[in-house]
Amino acid sequence: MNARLTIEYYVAEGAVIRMVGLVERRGFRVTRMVMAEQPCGRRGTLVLEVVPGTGGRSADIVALQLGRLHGVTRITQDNIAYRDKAA
Amino acid sequence: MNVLAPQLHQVAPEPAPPAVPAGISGARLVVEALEREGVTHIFGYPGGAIMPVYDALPGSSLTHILVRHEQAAALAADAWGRVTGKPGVCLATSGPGATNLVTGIANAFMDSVPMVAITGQVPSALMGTDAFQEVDIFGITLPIVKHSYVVRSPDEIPEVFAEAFALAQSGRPGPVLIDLPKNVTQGMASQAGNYAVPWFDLPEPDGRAIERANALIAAARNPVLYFGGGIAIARAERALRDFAARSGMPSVATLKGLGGLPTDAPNFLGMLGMHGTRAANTAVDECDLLICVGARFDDRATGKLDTFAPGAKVIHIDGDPAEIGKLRRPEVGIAGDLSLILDQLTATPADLCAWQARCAEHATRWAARYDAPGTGIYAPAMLKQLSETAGDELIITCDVGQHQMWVAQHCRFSRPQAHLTSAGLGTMGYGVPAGIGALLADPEATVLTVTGDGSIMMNIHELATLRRYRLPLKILLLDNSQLGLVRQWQEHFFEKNFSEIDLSDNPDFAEVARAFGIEAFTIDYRSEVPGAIERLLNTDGPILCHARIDPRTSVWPLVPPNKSNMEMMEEEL
Repeated sequence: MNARLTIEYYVAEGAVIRMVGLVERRGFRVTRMVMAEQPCGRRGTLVLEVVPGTGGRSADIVALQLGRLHGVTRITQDNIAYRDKAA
Repeated sequence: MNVLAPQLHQVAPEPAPPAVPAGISGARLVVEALEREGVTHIFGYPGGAIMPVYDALPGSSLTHILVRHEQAAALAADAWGRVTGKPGVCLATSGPGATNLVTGIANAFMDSVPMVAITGQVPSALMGTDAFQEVDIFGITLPIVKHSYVVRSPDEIPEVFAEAFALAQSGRPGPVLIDLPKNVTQGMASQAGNYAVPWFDLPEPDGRAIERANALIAAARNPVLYFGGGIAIARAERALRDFAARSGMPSVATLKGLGGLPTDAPNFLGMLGMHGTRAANTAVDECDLLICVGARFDDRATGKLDTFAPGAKVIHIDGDPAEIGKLRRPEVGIAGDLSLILDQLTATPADLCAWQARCAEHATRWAARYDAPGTGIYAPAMLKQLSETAGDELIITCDVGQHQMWVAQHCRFSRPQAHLTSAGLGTMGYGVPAGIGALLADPEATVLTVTGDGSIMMNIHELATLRRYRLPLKILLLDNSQLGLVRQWQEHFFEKNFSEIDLSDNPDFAEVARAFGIEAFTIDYRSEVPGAIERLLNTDGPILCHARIDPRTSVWPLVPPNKSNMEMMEEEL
């Protein structure tokens, strides 16, 4: 099942690459990514749309693994329908 | 839509930490931060970018252990962390110093060991310019650390170190990297300021899940307790032992779980998995309820996952919520403090006498045999005898290979901290540096490193560290003149196509040890084993026993890769 992960985090050096890298290493392909920092520059939001690779990886589990990262404050996960390239 | 709160909860700092004093160098702040954390030993190797920190070390309360390769610094710090439960600290310079730490950091990450790794870095202005000895160690280690920092100002040092130590040892422990550009350690703190010391607690166990777990336990007829390294991490041995005794259920351990229950505990069936006992694997195969505590359904334990405990309902208890359901979806998952949870599992199964008797009969029928023919040294028998002679105070550090599995199968453990082994990463070269770390962490212990002729060569230079600090490490080197476990796999799974396993041109290891100033001797025959054990255990200083063994000896039983644990191969007698 494709999923959208909305991750709220404290802005810090390496925070975004740490999150994206974890998702890829845990067997997901990132198909869309949107990032925004709040005006104060201390907190940010990263939205990742992900597709599981082989092995039946669960977006529930990768969300929990993201939640382990220091600086991640909240994760919202939605299952989303497949959207092809032309959409 | 699922909304997840963070799993680790920050709680109020107590007591308040000191302010950052102005007019003090970054390097001095590093040393003071380490002292404030109660660090006594640092394992490291100096070099250009970390020289300001080395300049600040003399006069501090810290004891620096100069290893001969940075990998050994990280592995020794790993062992320190396993024995004490506090972060082991390693220190290296930038570039190759930092990259040499990587294997040790990964080792700690895979086995959830608390560690703080400190690296020097080129000055901030040169970062990103391919400067001499510049490497992006922050980027390189991202997948193998619990967290990491590049410190950008001396003012940040106290807070970063306090947070790093808290992170490394709280929740699920792991390594934290702190990269220190040279201008930061050479620079002066400019402003005073307080900071919050974080601490991260485990989630509160779900009471309803505990109720459901108790109901499953009460209804079980053939339950099995399956426990792993999480017991040692949580220091939950007391709760595990109480639960095992209260419930009376047969139990099995992972490689890292060994010692959670004493080897001779009632109903304990030994290690499960690829090189586990047939009794343990059979019990798991036949059970109707599997209670997994502090283990993670690792492939070495489960074999082919969809054949593992096929008829069992599963209760999975772990400190890390992300482990629950990762590989096997449980009927009940409970995240939180293991002791707290185990103490609330008060239900007891119905009469287990028949199930206990069946498991005990299996354990007796398939017990290991030590009557190998011939006059040569039979390594399993020697390890068993050595372990029994040394007693429960012995700490064994293992290298990786056949000898590692023989230690797990044939040695006795009464506490998990007595068995230091590279389980997740399988790092050849772990044994001797880990022995150094263990001896410094617990100077009263008798520490034995069991190694092989392949493994010892990966960090043999650390014999110099033993000599320098006169550390009384006892080393048993089981030498079969080959990479034995690779040979065994090539024999059984690669049609005897023996490729690059021959080590028959090994040096004379006893001579090598003596060249480092270490007492050493060689044995070849079974009749020499009792005397060798006595000499190993009764020599005051470091000593190496070089035992030449039959290269045809294999590790049995063996579950072939991607097979069910019930398809174990046995030795043909």
